[in-house]
Amino acid sequence: MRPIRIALTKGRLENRALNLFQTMGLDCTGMIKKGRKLILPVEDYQVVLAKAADVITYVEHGACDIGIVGKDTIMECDAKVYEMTDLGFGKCCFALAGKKGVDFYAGHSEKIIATKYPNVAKKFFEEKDMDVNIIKIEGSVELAPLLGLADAIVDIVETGNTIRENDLEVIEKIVPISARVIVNIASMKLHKEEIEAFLADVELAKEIME
Amino acid sequence: MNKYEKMTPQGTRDLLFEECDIRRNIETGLSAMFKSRGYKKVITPTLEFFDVFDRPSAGMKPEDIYIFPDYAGRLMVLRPDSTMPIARIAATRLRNADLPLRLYYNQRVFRRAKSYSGHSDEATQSGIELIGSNGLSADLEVIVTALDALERCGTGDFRLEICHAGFYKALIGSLRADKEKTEAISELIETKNFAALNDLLSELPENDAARVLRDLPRLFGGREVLEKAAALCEKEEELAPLRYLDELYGKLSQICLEDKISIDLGLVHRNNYYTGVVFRGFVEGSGLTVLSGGRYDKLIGEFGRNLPAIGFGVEIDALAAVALNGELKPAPAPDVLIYGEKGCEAQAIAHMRLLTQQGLICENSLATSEASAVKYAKGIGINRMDSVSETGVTTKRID
Repeated sequence: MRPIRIALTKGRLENRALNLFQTMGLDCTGMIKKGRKLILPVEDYQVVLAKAADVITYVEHGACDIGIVGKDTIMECDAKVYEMTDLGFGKCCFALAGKKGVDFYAGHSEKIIATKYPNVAKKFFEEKDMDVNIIKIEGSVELAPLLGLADAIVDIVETGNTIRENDLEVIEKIVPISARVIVNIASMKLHKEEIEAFLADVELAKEIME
Repeated sequence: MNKYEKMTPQGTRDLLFEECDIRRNIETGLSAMFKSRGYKKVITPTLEFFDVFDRPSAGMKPEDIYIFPDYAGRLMVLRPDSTMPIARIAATRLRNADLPLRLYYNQRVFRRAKSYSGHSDEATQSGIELIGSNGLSADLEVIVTALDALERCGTGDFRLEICHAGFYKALIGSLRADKEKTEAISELIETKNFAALNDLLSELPENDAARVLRDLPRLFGGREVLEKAAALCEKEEELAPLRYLDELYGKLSQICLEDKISIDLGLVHRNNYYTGVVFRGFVEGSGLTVLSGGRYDKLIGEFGRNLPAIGFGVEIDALAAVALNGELKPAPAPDVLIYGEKGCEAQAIAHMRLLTQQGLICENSLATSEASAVKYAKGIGINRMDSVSETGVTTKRID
């Protein structure tokens, strides 16, 4: 059997995950001095760093057993994985935001929504029975209403600074977000002991970190 | 304009040589096993009317199925599942057949996978259906056959996980939540999302069912899970499925299969036809569910004949991927290359027929000279060459 493989989301959550591992008492030298290596040994585990959506893909297919990834990406990807632990860090929320002082719901014309998360946006408006035109944007979504491409955006909002500085405001909060531990379904069954031991250590570390 | 003449559609692919062989080995192995236990083969049409699958119990979304109109505008599908067509057969052409019916199949099913997800739209499934009995003995027979199928096809460790649809149905029934909340709870239990499940359940009036549901994602493991769950329950309709699973577990232990069995009471299937025991299988080396099945006592009734049934299907492609383990081992070279001199083409073919009847794998050389035939044999690793001329056959060793 190969070692248990853990996929970590690069960027925003990376340092928090490192912190978590250290609190769990894992020797993370392999992660800190990673150089150009892509698969990093951390004690008996193998750790890989990947983009958020890829973390889910690797775990869904079982190429990695465990993943640490934001709830935002989990909601957007709709993958078949176990979502076992709310890590409580990387907190932010999905929100609908538009130009300051403009009533988004006014009028009866179809609204245009710019977002990096088309599935989340689609589901949100479906629940409101609202027909909207969703445009997928890859980078700074805040630009779209400012340039007149969209009426509003659906995006993750952490501090709200970017929104405020660009004369936008939150119209409605959709759902809170935080980092989660996900597990491949087959791995959970075939390697129950190893994975449960890891999850128990995560729970302990969470308590210490709080 | 783009022409797609040189590629296969997304979610499909060509299978070559050893990939075909490994699949055939798995398929024939499984078919032989099913046959040896008294199951008879059926093949259902690749094209079916949508109506066969258009039922709430199917749990299939139209957007996941290949649907198109026929010449009369009726909706047709590429078969997305084999159990429903077999239920149709059991209720129609086999309506007067003696019970129980033991049927097996080995055929492709078609579903639309998400774009670029790496999943296939076309998958071969091999499985059995035991129709007309709802006893413990039938369940045991099918579950042991599922275990044997996993043992036969996997290359390493394997696990069969068992649950009972009645347990969850009883719990969610006494929760008295609306349809939307029920759906949400099912999804959270299915994904073992403890945190969100807790939040959602605390919005509902606290009762015994809510307390058990809160623990449901944790209720998986060995036989002890059943005791833990029973300690949390009081209602007879919740306890009965647990007792049944325990009895089944006991029977499986008697034939020394308990270490391959686990219980997961959080195995919740949304909107589907399962009514009793449900199970799914995993093998070392695959991150996918390679086997799934269960008891469905109402489905055949939807086609007009009330018959209890249980069955399972095995994902041949996932098992083939495990067996190949990422590497393609080239098929062995033929045993003999047969070279016929000019004018002796017919004799060469006759000689090839003779050797193949003896069980040798032969290749008829199409080279224009003996020297180039020898060179060809060396190149692909054939160790014996038989030259056929007017005077007869000469055998040469090629090193």
